[in-house]
Amino acid sequence: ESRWTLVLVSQDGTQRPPLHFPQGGHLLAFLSCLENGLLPRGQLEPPLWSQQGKGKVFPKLRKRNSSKSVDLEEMPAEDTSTDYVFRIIYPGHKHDNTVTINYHHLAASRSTSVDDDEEEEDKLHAMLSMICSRNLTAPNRMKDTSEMIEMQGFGANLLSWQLEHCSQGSSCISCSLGSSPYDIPSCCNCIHDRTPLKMLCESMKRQIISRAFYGWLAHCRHLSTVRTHLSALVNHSIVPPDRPASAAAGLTKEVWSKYQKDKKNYKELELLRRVYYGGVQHEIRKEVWPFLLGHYKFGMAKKEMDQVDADIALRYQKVMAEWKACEVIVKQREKESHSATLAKFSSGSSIDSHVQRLIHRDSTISNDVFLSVDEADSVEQDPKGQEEPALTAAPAAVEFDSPDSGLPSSRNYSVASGILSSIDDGQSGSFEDGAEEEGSTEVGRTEPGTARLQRAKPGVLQPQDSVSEEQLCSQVDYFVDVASVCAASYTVELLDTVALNLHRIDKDVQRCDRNYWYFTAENLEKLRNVMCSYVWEHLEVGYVQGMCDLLAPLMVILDNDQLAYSCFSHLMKRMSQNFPNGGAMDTHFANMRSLIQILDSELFELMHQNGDYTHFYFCYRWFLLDFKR
Amino acid sequence: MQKHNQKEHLYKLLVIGDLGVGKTSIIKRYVHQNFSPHYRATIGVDFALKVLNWDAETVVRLQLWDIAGQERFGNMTRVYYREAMGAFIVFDVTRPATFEAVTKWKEDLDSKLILPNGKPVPAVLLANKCDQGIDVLMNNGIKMDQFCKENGFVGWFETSAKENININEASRCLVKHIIASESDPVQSVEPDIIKPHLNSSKIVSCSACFKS
Repeated sequence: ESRWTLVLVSQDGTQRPPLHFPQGGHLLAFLSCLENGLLPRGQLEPPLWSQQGKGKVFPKLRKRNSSKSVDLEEMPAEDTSTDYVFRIIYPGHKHDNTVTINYHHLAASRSTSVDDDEEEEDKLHAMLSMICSRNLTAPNRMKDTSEMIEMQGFGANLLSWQLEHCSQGSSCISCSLGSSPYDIPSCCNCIHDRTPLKMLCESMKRQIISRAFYGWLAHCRHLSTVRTHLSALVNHSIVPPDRPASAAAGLTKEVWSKYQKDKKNYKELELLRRVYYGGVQHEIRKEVWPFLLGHYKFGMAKKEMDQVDADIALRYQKVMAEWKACEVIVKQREKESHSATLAKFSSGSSIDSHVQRLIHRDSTISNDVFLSVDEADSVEQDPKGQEEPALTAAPAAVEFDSPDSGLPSSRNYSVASGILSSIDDGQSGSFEDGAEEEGSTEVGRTEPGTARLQRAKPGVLQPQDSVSEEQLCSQVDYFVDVASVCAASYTVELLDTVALNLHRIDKDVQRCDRNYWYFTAENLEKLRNVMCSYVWEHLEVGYVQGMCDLLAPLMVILDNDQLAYSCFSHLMKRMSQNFPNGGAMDTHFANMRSLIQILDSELFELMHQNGDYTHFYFCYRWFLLDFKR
Repeated sequence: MQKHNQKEHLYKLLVIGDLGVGKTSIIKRYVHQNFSPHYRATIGVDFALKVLNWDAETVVRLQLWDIAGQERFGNMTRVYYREAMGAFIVFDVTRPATFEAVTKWKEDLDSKLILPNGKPVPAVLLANKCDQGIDVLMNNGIKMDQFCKENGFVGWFETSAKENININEASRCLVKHIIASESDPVQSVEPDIIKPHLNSSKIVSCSACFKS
């Protein structure tokens, strides 16, 4: 492209059709002509350079450090060496009263404080130039021009200048001010010297209005972007609070019993509408919450609900057994490391030898009674632990398979599934079940929980048959040493993770809503069991502070650990996104930001000015705990 | 110094450390002079304000930021740390794992926060719950001093929020270092500093103000 192009942009951002110049100094001539014409009051910025022998040349400077804040924004093409942006400025008319006042008067609809003229003016200019740059970059035809020059008249200065020059009748004023594109060719030919004053006043009026309009438009555009963002989050089908009947009373006992009598013709939406607008009557919360949280589905028959309960009970028992077995190992390990530390401090004996003593003691214990040998064909890989070759030796002859088993850090811990079977046996009297298998000499390396699942039969585990703690503990104590010998293996990493999570859970369970009457030691234990079960199933996320706070109300209302476990799991499907591994919290912050920006922009500005708290991190607890505290 | 010219300082102090080490308890003890076993887990951050009449000419306002022990949310701690002038890093003497976490907290702090003079913020190490049981780690005072020196703590204290042990002392130690580093950013040496004694008693006063 050898042609040079000049694009005129009026100060309201309107872009004129480009003027094309043939190669060879024509554009420069045009510009220097213009520059001369503007003198003495107006000038081009940056000015053209004079060079000896060549006359006028394009200025070399690229970076313009004008005091106006607009500059960066209006220079989208600054990097390419052939694009220039010129402004027409009028240094002598910085503060022309009449025009500035008009301008402020119009702009006052946005801002009531216009005491600082300069600042206000700059703001508007920034807005205008934002529009300008948008207009400039949009059309593609601009991209391939080798030279692009934008002429921008600026604000009040130009207008005042225009006014004066009109009266003098000698100017090229409309270069950037023509109200229609067709003014430009005429203006550039300078054939309108004697424009009537009236027309100029009209034009001025239009400019003032258009500037105010564009400022307002920019503001509105921004807000509409934010509103669009917000409206995308809202469910647009509005459910009325008063039709078919007022929902202010919420979901009452009467409505609920009506639903229960006629489940076939239930209207789930109607129930949800009542809950949304009026909440749930306290007495029926225990019944309703499992539906709301998704444990039961609306319309389920009694039989189906029983089935759901049975399934959950089974699963809860299974998970409990899994992590309790692991907890035994973790506790044992902690004891070992503690005693090792003590030994180290007291006698200076090394950790290794101390632990080794413990281990050798382990292997001497007769464990043939408790080593439940699970189905021989159920040899499975431990999904959590690292795979190890299956032991084929008889249980009594089992030795530690790791050569470096004396080192706690490199040892894989094992647990006897016998612990589990005995737990089970205590509950269900299915001891024979395990005893029958004890004759087998094969040791299946089976993850205890998996084995449990296979062995457990519906009906053996009744929902109300929660594992008795004392029983478990006493058995567990007895089997601690056995535990390290066979059945399932845990990697050190897994044990570390479990230990860390158990510890965190213990810390938080003990202090979770502890001023509330419900949380006695017994119920705290339930809370802990549910929390541990959930975390065991989600070890990749682990326990994060705040989970206990979410579980606690479920425990209080449902007062049933299996139900609470199920409901909490359902609740966490939604809430887990708020915890550090999910991405929802940043979205919440962004939405909050938009909301405050729209609803209380004054507050937003204030927050922005005082050290920028518009990250809204202070809302973290509200979002994480669903506004519980 | 002129008496009529009372100075007021506002310092933002961080209280960090693993969960359950007693950060909230320490702050409540320090600010409200009481202890309750009923605090709940801190989520996010809590605040407390303590006013100290430092000396006849100086009033010090301490804005204490009680940061949740398991604060894992992205950029949040960075924002919480911003413009803090000092920090307490707390661990629980009954749980060695919390002591091991101290270096992590210190590294996290120093990586996210630097004083205007380019130095790390003064940090005091608090060995909390010293009223409880035996503490293997604490039996060796010299070792702790060395640990502080190696990890850039200006001092350490055995504290108990329950029994109100050493919390005021620890705070004074930290504030002293903040004032010193503020008034004399180049020279951080204090002539009146208390030196640690090798035969340190169980309850020491500013045992590790070893900088001299």
